[in-house]
Amino acid sequence: MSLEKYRWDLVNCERCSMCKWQHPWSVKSRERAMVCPSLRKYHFDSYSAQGRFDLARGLLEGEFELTDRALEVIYACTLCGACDVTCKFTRDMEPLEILHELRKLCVEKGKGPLPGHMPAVDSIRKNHNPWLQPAARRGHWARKMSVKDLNKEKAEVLYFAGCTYSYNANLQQVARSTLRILQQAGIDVGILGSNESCCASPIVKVGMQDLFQEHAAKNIEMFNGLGIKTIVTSCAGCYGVLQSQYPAVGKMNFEIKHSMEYFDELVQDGRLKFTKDVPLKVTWHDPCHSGRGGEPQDLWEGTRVRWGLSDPPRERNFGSKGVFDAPRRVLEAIPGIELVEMERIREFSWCCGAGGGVKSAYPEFAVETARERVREACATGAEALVTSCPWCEANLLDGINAEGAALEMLSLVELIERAAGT
Amino acid sequence: MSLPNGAYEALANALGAENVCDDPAVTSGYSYMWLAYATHAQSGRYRPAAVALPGSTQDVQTIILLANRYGFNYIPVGTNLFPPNMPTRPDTIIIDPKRMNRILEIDTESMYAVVEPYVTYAQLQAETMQKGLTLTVCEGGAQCSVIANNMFQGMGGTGHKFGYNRGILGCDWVLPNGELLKIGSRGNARGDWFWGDCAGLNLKGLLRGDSGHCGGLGMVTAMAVKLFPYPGPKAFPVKGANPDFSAEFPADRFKVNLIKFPNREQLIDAMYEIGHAEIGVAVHEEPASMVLAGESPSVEHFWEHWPEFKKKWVNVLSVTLLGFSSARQVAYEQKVLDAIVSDTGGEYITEDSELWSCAACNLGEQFRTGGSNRLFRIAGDFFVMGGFGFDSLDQSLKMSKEYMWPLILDGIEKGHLAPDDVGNDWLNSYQLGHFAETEPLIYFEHDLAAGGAFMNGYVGTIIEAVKRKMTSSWPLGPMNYITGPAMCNYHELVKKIKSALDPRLTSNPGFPVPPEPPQA
Repeated sequence: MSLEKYRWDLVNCERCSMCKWQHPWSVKSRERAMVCPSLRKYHFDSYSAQGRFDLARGLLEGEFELTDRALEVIYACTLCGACDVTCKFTRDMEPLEILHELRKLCVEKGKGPLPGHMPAVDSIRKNHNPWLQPAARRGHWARKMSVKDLNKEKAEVLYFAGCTYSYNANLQQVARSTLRILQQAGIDVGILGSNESCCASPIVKVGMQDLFQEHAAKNIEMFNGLGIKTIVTSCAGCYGVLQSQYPAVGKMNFEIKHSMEYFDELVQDGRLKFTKDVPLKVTWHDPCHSGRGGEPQDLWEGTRVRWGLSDPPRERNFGSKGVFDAPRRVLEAIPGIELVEMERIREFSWCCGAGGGVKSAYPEFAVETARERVREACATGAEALVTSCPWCEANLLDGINAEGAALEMLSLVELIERAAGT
Repeated sequence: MSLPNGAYEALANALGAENVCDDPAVTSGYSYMWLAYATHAQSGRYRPAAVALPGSTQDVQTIILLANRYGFNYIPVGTNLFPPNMPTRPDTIIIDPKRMNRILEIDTESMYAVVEPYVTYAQLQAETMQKGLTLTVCEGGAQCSVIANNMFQGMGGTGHKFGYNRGILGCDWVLPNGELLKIGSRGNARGDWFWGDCAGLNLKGLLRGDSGHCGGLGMVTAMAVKLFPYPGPKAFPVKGANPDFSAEFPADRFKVNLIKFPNREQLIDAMYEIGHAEIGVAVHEEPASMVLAGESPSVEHFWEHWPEFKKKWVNVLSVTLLGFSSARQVAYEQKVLDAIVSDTGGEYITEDSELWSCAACNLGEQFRTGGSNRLFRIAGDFFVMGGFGFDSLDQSLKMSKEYMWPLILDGIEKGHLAPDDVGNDWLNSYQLGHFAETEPLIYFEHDLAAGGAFMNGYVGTIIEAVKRKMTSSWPLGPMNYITGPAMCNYHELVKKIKSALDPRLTSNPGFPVPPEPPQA
């Protein structure tokens, strides 16, 4: 059982509760001190990293079985990684990896994924996307655009739209706008159209490691064969899994960038200019998978020796080196934009609520978490909530509607397009 | 691990089914206590029968009445970082106050705040700072419950000025018979929170003396705590990103002094003088391990730097000055401190030195602990080799040198404890030096041998202190049978109080003192 690798962590957690909150020095109010959506919703300690450690230890030592409640404890978690950030400030432990291992265990035991996850899983197997859409229609979002087809031509950059931006009619505009801006900036960019395949993030998140390996290996092989220098994606989910999970599957001969980073570079070197005022007060939501989850992982294999030392020494991922500054620099470069920050930002950002299979298995929990974020955004006085992740955008929009909030949900690229006058 | 027939259903009916759970997947989250090493060797044995989530004082009363009616035990917890919270009997539930997380009031004129049990220090202080007020934050970390910590010790970084165990004002306390007792000024006709005392006998003394009743006498559901003036920014002035944070307070109102002494005796002389002069808000001797842990982002970093660092950081006193009323107060206190340092042979560590940079987070840590849990990083766990409060700074040092450090060195030699052989403690002045606390910190992994070494040291120190006619604090549960006979048999009185208030022994039964000594 691969949980065994984490036995030292499970046994030496002292239940300090850091995993439940922002770092104490970053707490600005009573209302928004907590950082774990799962604990906020379910209240029992078991729905925090600390409690899940106890559950994992109990399972490892054969104290009890995977009951339905255990499955809920394990899967009613967005895998946002906030616990991982705060825990690592004080301890050399890996909460997020352990949460993943618990899900793998559920799959190994034939208990996971949950029924709510299966339509997406089956669709990825069959259609290479989780949205039950035919693979042949994947490239339709760009059918009216003139763009290089990397199945036939070469380009320096692959724009990887991802499943949601490809199929969701309300969000396809993001992919089109991104591609248009890249083209207008003179970037040699192409797409894969109907041959683009799911990054497999939804699969790995629910614990189906074998299927993920298979899917990711195929993607890596295809990407490596394209002769590209860079993959650019607008989806934080794709970005996160490409950054943190793919390197363990195979060597990649290209770099991975989120479109936010790419836009930032274009602004910095003058290839993307903003000529129009966008008078709007906005607040920025850091997606978990491009933010704290966007920091590359150390693919450490080793053991814990005396006093918890790692052999060989392990570089820890503290979650603060993800894509945080780039979107803020871009927003601040847009004339007329006033950026106001929420209380929980950057590595302590509050999750939108959609991740980790929660949107499909626990939709009420997902929306409740989004509503909490929407209230936080409203408290800033912002007119618009801006982000760059289709899962966040869709779920936060659900949250805005549920709250009845006077808040516009925008993708960063929409503001860029308005300011650039394209 | 099961409740008497009908008890679970009664709890679910009273609280709502979603607020009670007996599934092992949930109860396991309350079954492992970091300091009770035996639980690891016997994992699962101490899972509670259920966990209940009350949403109000009335809910707590209902739970306790049901416990009496059906005959099950309960343990009220806060944020749950405390060994006596672990259920040791099979028919025990945990009362988890997560739904009781409100700040009921912040009174800026009378300077107090009223909180429910799941409000943490970081949350409360974040709100009080906005109103120009603060409180002493516990060393267990600002992520801990304000009420739970005050029920135990209420000690914190700024206790030199703000006091030890002095924060509790009015309280709402559900007794083990389910009745609500309002103590202090809560008992007045207006039900005010501002005062901890009251006419007649002071009932606050029943709540806690040195280390509280550990959930053995019911549950406090709301508490008023004392606040103090705070002349700093409204938001905690944190800079940086994980794992490297710093705090930048206005230099004219907040000042840390790090002072090196040739030996610990001179360091203690300075602490006494600082207390006599009534200056400073936080005065601590800080051991090398604590300082290096505070700046270490990994266990590897700590042990790589330890061999050199421990030679450089020896006998260092940290003195924090705070200008409550004005910048002139800081200037005045600095002059007094300069004279004391000169008289006692100390030498300031200058702000451009390597040692200063290692303690960069010191100022922020005094006001809102954020890094104290990094002490766990050094080896997996840490605790105190029989330290705690003693009658005076001198006696603290004497016990540390003569009794505790020989035990520590023995534990290191046997391989139970991580090799910190510097011989410096975390030694604190409370209440302007009128009370002292020493914590010889030891570091170890969670295993039975280390746990045994620690427990022997803990109990052994209390026995030794009694032998030497010293007042040793923190005797928990059965340890009161050691300290009681040396102190007017107070434990017999506590037993009678427990018996009177909790005749069925349903409230964390072994606390504040078990009905029989452990050997019986």
